[in-house]
Order: sequence, then C-alpha cells, then structure tokens
Amino acid sequence: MPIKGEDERMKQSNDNLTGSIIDNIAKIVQELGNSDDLIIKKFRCLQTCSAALIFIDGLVDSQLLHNSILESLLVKEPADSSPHQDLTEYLQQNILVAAHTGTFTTIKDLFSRLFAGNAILLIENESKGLWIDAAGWEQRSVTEPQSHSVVRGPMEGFTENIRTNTAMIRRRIRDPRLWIESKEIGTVTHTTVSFMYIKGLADEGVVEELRTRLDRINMDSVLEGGYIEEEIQDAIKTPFPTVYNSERPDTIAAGLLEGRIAIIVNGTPFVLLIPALFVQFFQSPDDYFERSLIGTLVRLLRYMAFFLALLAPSLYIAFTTFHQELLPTSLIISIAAQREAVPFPAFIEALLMELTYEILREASIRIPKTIGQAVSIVGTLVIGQAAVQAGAVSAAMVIVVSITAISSYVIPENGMSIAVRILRFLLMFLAASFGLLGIWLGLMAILIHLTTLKSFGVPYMSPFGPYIAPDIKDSIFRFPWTKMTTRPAYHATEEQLEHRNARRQRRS
Amino acid sequence: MTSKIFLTAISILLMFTLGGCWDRKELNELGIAVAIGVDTAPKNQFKVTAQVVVPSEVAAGQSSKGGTSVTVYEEVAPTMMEAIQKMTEISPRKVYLGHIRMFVIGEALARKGIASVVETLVREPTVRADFYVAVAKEGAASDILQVTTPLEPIPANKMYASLTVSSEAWAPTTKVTVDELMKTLMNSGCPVLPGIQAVENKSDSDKGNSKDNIASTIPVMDLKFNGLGVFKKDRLIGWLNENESKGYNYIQNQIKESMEHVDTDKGVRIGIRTFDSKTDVKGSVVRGNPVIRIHVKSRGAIEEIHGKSQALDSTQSLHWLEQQDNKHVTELMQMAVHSAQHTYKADIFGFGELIHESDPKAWKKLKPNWDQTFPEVKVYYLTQVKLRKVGMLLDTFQQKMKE
Repeated sequence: MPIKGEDERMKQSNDNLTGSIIDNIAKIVQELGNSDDLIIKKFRCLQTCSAALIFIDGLVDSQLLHNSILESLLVKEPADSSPHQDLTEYLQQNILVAAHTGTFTTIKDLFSRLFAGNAILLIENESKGLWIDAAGWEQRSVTEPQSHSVVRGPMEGFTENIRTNTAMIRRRIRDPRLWIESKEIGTVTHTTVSFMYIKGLADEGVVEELRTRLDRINMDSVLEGGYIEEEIQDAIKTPFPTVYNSERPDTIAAGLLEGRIAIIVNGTPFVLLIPALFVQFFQSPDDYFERSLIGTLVRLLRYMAFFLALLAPSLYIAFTTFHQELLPTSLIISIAAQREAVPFPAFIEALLMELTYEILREASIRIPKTIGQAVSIVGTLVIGQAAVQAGAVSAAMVIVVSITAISSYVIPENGMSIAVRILRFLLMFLAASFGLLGIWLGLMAILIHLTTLKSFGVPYMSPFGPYIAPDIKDSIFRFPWTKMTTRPAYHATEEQLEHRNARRQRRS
Repeated sequence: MTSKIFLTAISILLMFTLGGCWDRKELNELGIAVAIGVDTAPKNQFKVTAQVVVPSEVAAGQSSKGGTSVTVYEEVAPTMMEAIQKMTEISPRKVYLGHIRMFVIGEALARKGIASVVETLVREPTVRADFYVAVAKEGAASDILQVTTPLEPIPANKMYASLTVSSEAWAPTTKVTVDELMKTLMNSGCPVLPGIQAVENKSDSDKGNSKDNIASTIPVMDLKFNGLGVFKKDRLIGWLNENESKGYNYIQNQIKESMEHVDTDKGVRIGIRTFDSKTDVKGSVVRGNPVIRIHVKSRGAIEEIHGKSQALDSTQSLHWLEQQDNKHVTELMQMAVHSAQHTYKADIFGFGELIHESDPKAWKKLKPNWDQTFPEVKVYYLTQVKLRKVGMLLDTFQQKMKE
C-alpha cells in the first residue's frame, strides 16, 4: 500500500536539476531530511569550476572514491581548455575512464543513483548531473547454503546481492541464450527483481505471463522473494507451494535447463523457480549427483516419509479409538498397557503432543544460539521420557510424534513440509471423528485439490495427472543420465535439445 | 459470500455430530478378551467365560503389580452375547471381542451341537475370523480358561502358539480357524477340532488357577492339546487317538514336519524325521463305487538309531528303510480311515467333496445315502518317503564299540 502523502513528495522529486549547485544541494538535503549519512563534498573540479560530490556513507567504496575518483578530479588539469566541449562529456571520456559513469537530469534519477551506491557529481552551471559507480558496501560473502544441504555437490549458495547471484548462474550456463530481464518493484523499496530464462527452452507463454504478473504487482516493499511468490502464484487458497525456491545455484541452473524461469530478488539468497510441480518438492540435488539407483530409492523413501508425516498421528488415533481389531493382538495389548494411566482420549493426547512439538520447533528456530542447548534438553524431556513417566502421554504416542517430526524433515523443500504440517492437524480431526473413513475422505479431498492446482498453467500433479509418460523418468524415479534424453514435456518448445551426455555417448 | 461460508461451516460442524464418534472407544475403556469359552448351563442357558487381558501386567517395561496377567469373567445367560454384556456387572470395562485368539467349547456343549455358537462369533463384526477353535476334552471350557501358563503370560496366546507349533512340528494336533470350521459345516462336512485338556501334574490342584502355579518348574496344571474331536455334522461324537490323528493330518496334507519311528525285525528302532510332506487325495467313481486314492510324497531324515545291526552305507539298506517308513505312514492313515469309517461313520476327510468334484453326476446318486456308503469306500494308499539325510554320521558308531 502506498504511504499517504507519498505521491506528493514523489512529484516534487520529478523536478529537473537546476544549474545552481547550491539550489540542488539544498533540495537534496531537504528531501532527505538532513539525514547525516548523506555526504556532500564541495571542491573545485579540475581546478576550474566549483563542483560537489554527493554520496551516501556506507554505500560507496570510500577507498576507491578518494584514491582514484576524487584525486583525478582534483589534480588533473584540462589538457585543452576548449570551452565548446561539454564538461560532463569531457569528464566521462577523459578523466573518469576507469569507472562506470553516466548522466541524468532529474532529481528522481539522482536519488535512485544515489541509493544504488553511486557517487553524484554536480557541476556549477551544468543542467546534467554525473553519476559515478563507486558502489561498495559490507556484505555477506558466498557461503555454504543453510538449507538444501547435500552430501555431494557444489557447496556455494546464493547471497543477498542480486549481481553475485546472477553471476553465479551465468557461470554455470555459459550460453548467450541465457537471458535476463530486470525491473524495479516496490514503490518505496525500489527492489530490483530480475528473471532469468533460457531463450528457446522456456515457454514464451509462461515468460509473457510472468511479465504481466510482475507488472501487476503494486506493493510498496519487496524485502524477500516470498513477497513476489505470493503475488504471482496461481492459487492463494492452498497449503501447497506452487513456486519453488532454492538457495543453491546448481538447483536453479538445473531448473533453467529444464525450461523453467528463475526469479531473483535483490536482498535475499532465495531464488524462485516457476513453474513448480509437486514432484519437484521431493527432488534433492543429491539425486542427480549420486548414482541413479540410490536417487530413485531415496525418492521413494521421501514419498514414504511424506505420508508418514501426514498420517502417523491420525492413523494412531483411528486405530486406537475406532479400529482396535485391525492391529495385531500383541501390539494392541502393549498400546493398551501404555494407555492405562493416560487421562486423555487418544485425540487429545495426540493433539497435545503435536502442539508441544510445534512449539518446540518454533522455539528452536527463534531461540538465541547460546541458550539453544538448554531448550533442546528441556524439550526432549517434555516430549520424551518425563512425559511418559508422569503418565500424561503413552510411550507409543512419543514414538508417533518423533517419527512424524523426523519424517517431515526428510522432505527436501520447507514449503512442502509446511503444507504437511497444516494438513496433519486437519486429518487428526477427521480421524478423531470418523476413524479410517475420515482419513480416507481427507486424503481424497487433498488429492482432488492437488489435481486442480496449476503453476503457471502447468498442472501441479503432472507427470501423474495428467500422465506424461516421458516425464516419469524424473519423478518418483531418477533414471540414469543416459536415459534422460528429452527435456520435460510439460511446455512446448521448438527446440528439443538432446542431453549433453546422451549426445556424447552416441558420438563415441 | 459470507453466508455461503457460514452455511458451509455450519454443515461441516453438523456432520461431526451426525457421524461423530458413535463407535469411538478409547483403549483404556476396553477389556480386551483373548479367549472365550462356552459351556452348557441348566435351563437351556449358556455359561460364557471370557479371558480378559490385564494390560499393565503384560506389557514390557510396565511395573507389574504382581497380579495375574489375565482375569476371567463368567456369566450365565440365555444367549452368548447376553452373557458377555452381563459381564459388565463384574467388569469395569466392556468386554471387547476384537482380539479373540481361542474359542473353547465345552465337551458337553460340543456333543449338543456347535453351529449356533460358532455363528454368534462369526456374526459379530469386530471379531477377526482367524482365531482357533478347540474342544475342552472331558471337561468344561471355563476350567481351561482359568489355567495360568508359564512362558506365555497370556494363556490364550499360549494355546494359540502351542497349537500352531505342535500342528507344524508334531503332527497329531490340527489348527482349525473359525472360518474354516464354518466352511466345513456349511459344506455339510464333518469337522474335526483339537481337544484341549487341563492336565494336573501335582496333587494340590487348587493352586492351578493362581500365580503360585508358575512358581515351580513344573506347573501344577498344564494346558495340553490331546487328540482330535470327531464331529458328525456339528455334534461331537468321539475322539481320535494320537496315531489316528497323525494319520488324519497326513491325509489332509497338514503335515509340515513330524517324527516317525520304524522298528526293524532285528530289534533296531530308527527315528525318522518327516519333512516336505505333500499329500494328494483324488476321488473317483469306478463302476458306481466311490474310490479314493491317497498319494503321500515326503522326505525323511534319519535322526536316531537304537541298536547296532542297522547298516546305512548302501542304497539297498536305505531303500529298505524307506519301505518300512512307507508301511508305517500307510498304517497311520489306515488307522484314521478305519476309525472314521467304522467307529464314527463320519466323513471327516471330506471324501464326499472329492467325489463331488471329480464326478458330479455320480455324486448326485451317492449323496442321499452317503452316510451308508462312506464306510464302504475303497481307499488306496501310495506312500513315497525318500530318505534324504542321515545326519552328521554315516554308519552308527555303536557298531564299532568294542564289546
């Protein structure tokens, strides 16, 4: 939402520069409200005319500014002082040859350059201003990604800097067909949002759709990719994520090669990828780096974990309160013995434990690292031995909660495990009221919902529903690279590139 | 829009009250019955005995309070289910029948007919149809269910397990699940059921139903499967002894493993383990007369030799032993068939069914008089035992011992 009175102020800054430095500076200082990180350095440019260098402290590399830019502007004398040549032109071509420079005429442009980390040079009697790229600020270097970690594979992750991020992708795909488009979103934050795709692989229709959806965004701020994700996703009323995100350049590069589009937002290390399919959220980079057999088996394990995380507590409720006859006799007796002293019905017991776990999980993310140890110790006691010995819950319930918790971390994408967390509680309610019938109905409802979802026009459940035979190769299965000879078929492209490895094999 | 959401919410909430929880029962509100016994009672009533687990005494890791692991409830009522419901007068929990492992029928009731009591349990929806049925030989079912057992804390589990194990490793018992029993009865066959007895080992039998019972190595009372009860339709008419029971199991192809022995004419006794036994029974009608052919194929392993003069080093001697074993197995089957045909006149082997399958037309004629025809049925036996193993020794070292 635009802030009140903002439009008015914006109008003011649309004014052009005047020839007077004093006036311009007064205006800038007034607009910025005397903010003290604004540095204004007045000097005699080339020892002939008065000029001012303006920059924001902390956004520019002061070393560079002092040593090369300011020095050359001060010391050098004009080689030929022919007045007919435009001074700004002359400075750009002859004096500031090392830096990236440009001119502007409005106050608005001045500010956008100023906040991008450029130094602004205003010269007396010139209606044009000059910006000099001297951006440089403290930032996190490229480190190992915190999420999506792998055993084998590249260990570098995206940073908060959009340029670093695009460079990391370009380093992996050295092809002129890798195109990048940028725009500024956020009426206050002016955040740079870029999207990358491989021309000829990405569906033109999807690219066009993305453009219109990005244009439609009317927000005052974009501080993370999540803002964009919610604005461009197809369905809002769903727990399932329809936009993929990753902190790993290799994952994003792989997505681009599959014809997807990457959306990079300045200020966040998480890059978005569209269109996103259900199966994608169960794929981990490891699957492709390790041999294909284990890739397939681990994927099967993840789907199993998905169902465990979704169903374990509700199945426990259904079996112990409705369908005691379905469990083996010795197991039911053992569970009955554990439940002897438990004062709550199974549903309340399960709800309590799941809530306790959710609280612990939330706490362990927020808690300062120094006292994290204490919380985990207390936490294990709460949902562990102590709770059982106190007779508040049964040991079987602790097992169920643990397996649920562990299983939910097997799903590689956090977005999907969030969906599972939400639906788990829904299914627990259904199990408590209708038993297995309720669980079955709930699963059917989830399935129907999933099949109606779309991500940028691509059915969410493809390649299963609709069934796309060639795409099964990289769904629950991970075929060997030699068998992966076609691009995913969910989008129509002119070019059906054969896989690099496959081609190499055929040649030999 | 708002009203639509409101209506949906209301209807979902109403749904919970409609379907909601009517058959919900928490585990600690249930008395899990593991065995049910039925006996006759005066005035045409049933005496129903339920063996109910005391979970806290059974489960691992729970501190036992020193009580028995099961408790037994007994009620007399005009119908079985009435008796079971009536147990709530004594029991704090409703008796839950979903996990019955054993169904024991008193001999007196078995002689009156078992069809109706079997049906009662099959009709009950929570009951799994895979529990075993046994007859309390020469006694009442309630006496059987009261006996505590060592090794398996739950007596019903002990009965279930020892019936499974003994029918697999020692042939004279046979496990009959309730659905098999019902199938046999429906096909107007004559079922057999294993007999179970509470055997007293020591004189102080009054300790048999207390925990003191398992305080010694030999319990005061043991539960023992003994013989097979022969039924004519659904009424118990008599018992097969051990050898006949074994023969019955050979014919029914229910032998997985067993031990036989052969006494040779030289006074040597040889113990042979039978394994991989397979029986093929075929019925046919030859000139209007029903004929049954039984073909047993099995393998044997020599396990014991008591005596010196038996040589094992030649194929002839092994062949000779095979012949002896064949003869022995055939005799077992003959005993069973003889007993069924002449003592009880009950077609416990399902020969009628076999004839029906092979020659439906002839069966139509035979069926009305099958009870009379059955004792006259000719039975041919072919037994082929192959001795495959002689163990870790070849000839017995008893020969080499110096006198």
